[in-house]
Amino acid sequence: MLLNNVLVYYLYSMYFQVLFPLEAKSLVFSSLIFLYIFLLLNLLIYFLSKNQVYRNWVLIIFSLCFYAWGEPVWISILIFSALIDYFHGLIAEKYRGHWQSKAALISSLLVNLSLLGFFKYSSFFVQNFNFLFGINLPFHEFALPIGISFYTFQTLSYVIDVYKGEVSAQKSPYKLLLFVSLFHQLVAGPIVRYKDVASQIDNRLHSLSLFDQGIKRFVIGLGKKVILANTAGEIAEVFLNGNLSTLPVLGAWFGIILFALQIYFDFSGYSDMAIGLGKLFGFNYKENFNYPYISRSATEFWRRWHISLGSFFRDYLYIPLGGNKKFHLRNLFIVWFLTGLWHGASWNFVLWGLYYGLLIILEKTFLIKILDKLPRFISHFYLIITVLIGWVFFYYTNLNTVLEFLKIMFSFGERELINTTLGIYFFNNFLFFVIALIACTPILPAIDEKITCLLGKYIWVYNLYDGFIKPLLILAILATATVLLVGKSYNPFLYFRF
Amino acid sequence: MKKTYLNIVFFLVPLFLLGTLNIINPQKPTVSQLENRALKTKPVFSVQTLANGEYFKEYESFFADTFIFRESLVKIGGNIKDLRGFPGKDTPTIVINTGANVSQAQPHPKQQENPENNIDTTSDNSNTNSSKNIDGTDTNTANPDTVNVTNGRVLVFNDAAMEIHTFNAEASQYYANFINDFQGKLNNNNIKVYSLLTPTQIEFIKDKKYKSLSSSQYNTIEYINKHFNKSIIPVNAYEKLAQNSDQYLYFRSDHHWTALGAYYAYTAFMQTKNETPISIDRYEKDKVSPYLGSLYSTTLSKKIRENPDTIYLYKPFINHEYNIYYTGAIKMDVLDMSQAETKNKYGIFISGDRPWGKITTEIKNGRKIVIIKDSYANAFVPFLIPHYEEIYVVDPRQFTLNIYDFIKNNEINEVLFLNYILVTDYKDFTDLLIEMSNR
Repeated sequence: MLLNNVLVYYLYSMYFQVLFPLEAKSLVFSSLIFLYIFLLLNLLIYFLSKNQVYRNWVLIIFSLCFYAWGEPVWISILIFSALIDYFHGLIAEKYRGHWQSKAALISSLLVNLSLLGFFKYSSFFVQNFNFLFGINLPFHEFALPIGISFYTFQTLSYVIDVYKGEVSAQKSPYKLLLFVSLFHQLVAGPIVRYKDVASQIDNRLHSLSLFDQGIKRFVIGLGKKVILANTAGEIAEVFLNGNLSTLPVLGAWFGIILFALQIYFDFSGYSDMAIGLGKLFGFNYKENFNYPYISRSATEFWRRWHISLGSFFRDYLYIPLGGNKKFHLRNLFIVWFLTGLWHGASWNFVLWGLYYGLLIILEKTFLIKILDKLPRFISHFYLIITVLIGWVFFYYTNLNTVLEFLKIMFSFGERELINTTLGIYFFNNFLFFVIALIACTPILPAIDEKITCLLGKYIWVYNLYDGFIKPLLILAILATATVLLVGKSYNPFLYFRF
Repeated sequence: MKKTYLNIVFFLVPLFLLGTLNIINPQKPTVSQLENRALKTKPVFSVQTLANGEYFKEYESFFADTFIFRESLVKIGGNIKDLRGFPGKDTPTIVINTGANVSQAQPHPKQQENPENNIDTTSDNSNTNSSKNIDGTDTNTANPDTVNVTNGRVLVFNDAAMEIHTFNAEASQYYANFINDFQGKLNNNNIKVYSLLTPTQIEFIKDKKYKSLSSSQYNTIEYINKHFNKSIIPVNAYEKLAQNSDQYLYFRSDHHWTALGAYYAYTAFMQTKNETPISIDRYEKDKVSPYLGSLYSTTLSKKIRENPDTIYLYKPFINHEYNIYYTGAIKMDVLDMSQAETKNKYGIFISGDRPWGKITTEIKNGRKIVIIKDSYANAFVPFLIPHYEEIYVVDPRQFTLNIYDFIKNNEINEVLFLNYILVTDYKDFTDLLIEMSNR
């Protein structure tokens, strides 16, 4: 427990900082200046440049500006990481099958993991070490360079894939820098693998149709973040950060459900925006979320949640370790320990990861067979409850608080069930709550498909629906998001409170 | 099927229009009356601020603060928030408000708007950073990012917004202990020390369920009174306010009481002193409307906007002179009607919060009182005019002198601590009082 108390907030992973920016350190997509200045200028200059080489440079320069927004010094690490892995890639390819190639791979692993370890985990390790041995080694807490958790993984995957011969090395350093620095996914993922975008760096197709899709996707992501996630977060905070001693049982559930909504819309909204931005500039990134909350087991949940991270650990860690062929339990333990740790340099994240590891082992051994036989609503219920318990570990860095909160959640009968505050918040946000719940399921796309199917016979009605009404809805989301973003700057300042 | 690309039009056109409008907008506002704060100004470029990230961060805030059509968009945003609940149903809401535990002087927007008014004496006063604040160069008081910010809760109940009080035993004792210490340090038992804690509106709403959101203010006041030593004389304003709670005692859009509420507290004070209060009918009445106060700014509630408050004024009938002091004396009206033109109309009462002020009346009875207070006292003070020769008003948030010397030098013989109950939710206000008496 003590270990936890000593950790300070800016040790959270980058990902966590994006969700809860205690100090905004880079530009974020969901800000007025990004939308109305940065993106506008980027699109203008990009499409005014006729040739692919210029366009790539435009993207690099804008990406570096995006990154430099908060802390220009950290650009050096980004460029260093890209440059050194450029050489690693060249060597790995040139000497494929020889020791030099392996040396390049090991060197890349060392460099990237040291960067990550040094900036993200050094003070965590030193503090734990100090605690264990009762000594007092000095440590320095760094402000985490933004996106380091993402780009170190991306450059790593590049060198590994070149080493394995799955992709050929990039001969041009600036093109590799483009891959590493691309601002769409730099800050909050998805983790894009070089081999998936290699051909797009040289040849990208731009079409009105792709651009149109990109806008749709970007605005939907913006709406998820600004309209849904921010609102959910604002309400969740009242229950999760308030006085726990007076929190009623259902208040705890309400709070953690809202946090579950917040984190999903925040993170998947960011991925949507990244994918949308990619399309605007001719890149195709893989999907990162697939309605995780409709899963029926933890195993399924992780196939639908942060897909690019799960597959990264699977392909570059779990399978090389031996997968389910040898040391299966050990492999699972390592993978889930590190998955947890990746989310933040704090024990609660490690426990959160191991909690899923345990669930997945249980499911693999017997649970999944039972769940499959049970009615669907029971397995859904099982998943929702387990995920919500997981988020408690994720939310509170202090393990005492985690236990206290879990106790409140399961104190039916011994504790107040509801109170006036909960009633007020529930009734005042009822409609929002319903909309948010619907938005985590594939109901809306299904309805859209139904309508499209029905209207198929009446071409002009369909054209009205698809060509006018849907774009109008997208415009409404953009307008609402803008209004709410302006509202965020509203800061009535009350001098009366001494 | 022919594909339209309306998404592209609907995205690029607003982006382009709002983007260019924001860039070319020549008249960027610098002050927000609605929020009662200075807006961010365009940061000054320097290599250093660029390198440490300050420049772009500041620029981003500046961009958001001065976004075109901002105030209208903010109001629309408030209306969107109203749509979150049950469709068509009105239920009370809770709004989190941000306040600051500012230990520096408070800026007073009025001084910037009427530069002819007392600006000479204030501009060179290091303790009044008001003029600095409003142009944004000194962010200490006006920027919530940099000061110790507390989150309070405001209940919007029908067309009234009210602060929610949370009992804090430690902070309550802290307040009581300070006044005990203060009395001891006066070292003069001829000086009477009174404490008047005013309850707020939420204490008197009829609905038990919503009233229960707030700790009982009656209990808090009792608790504090119990911790006073015998030399402190509590004034029971609570009872008088409770008896008359069906009248217009509190603003619905502001966290203060009305002059009528203050009048009932005044009658309680007179009763404590065994004196007869002046009848309210003796006063000539005046009114200022519409008034949308601080809690409207916090909540932007549409219902409150549609039912603004009216400020009723009771004009003093005894001849008097009122001066406020920064470095030198500045003559003011006890009911400063120039404040009626500003947004913060409660500032009419004794012209708002000043470091200290002094009313000299034609009543030559030798009685001199000092009121150590928060802004609740502002509406209260004018009612004391018929009873004292000299009335001193000290605001611990800005007062820079030694309070004991001040009392001794002015031969003051009564001290009244008048604050609203929410100053005991936190220790910060008491800290200011302690700071003031340790000087």
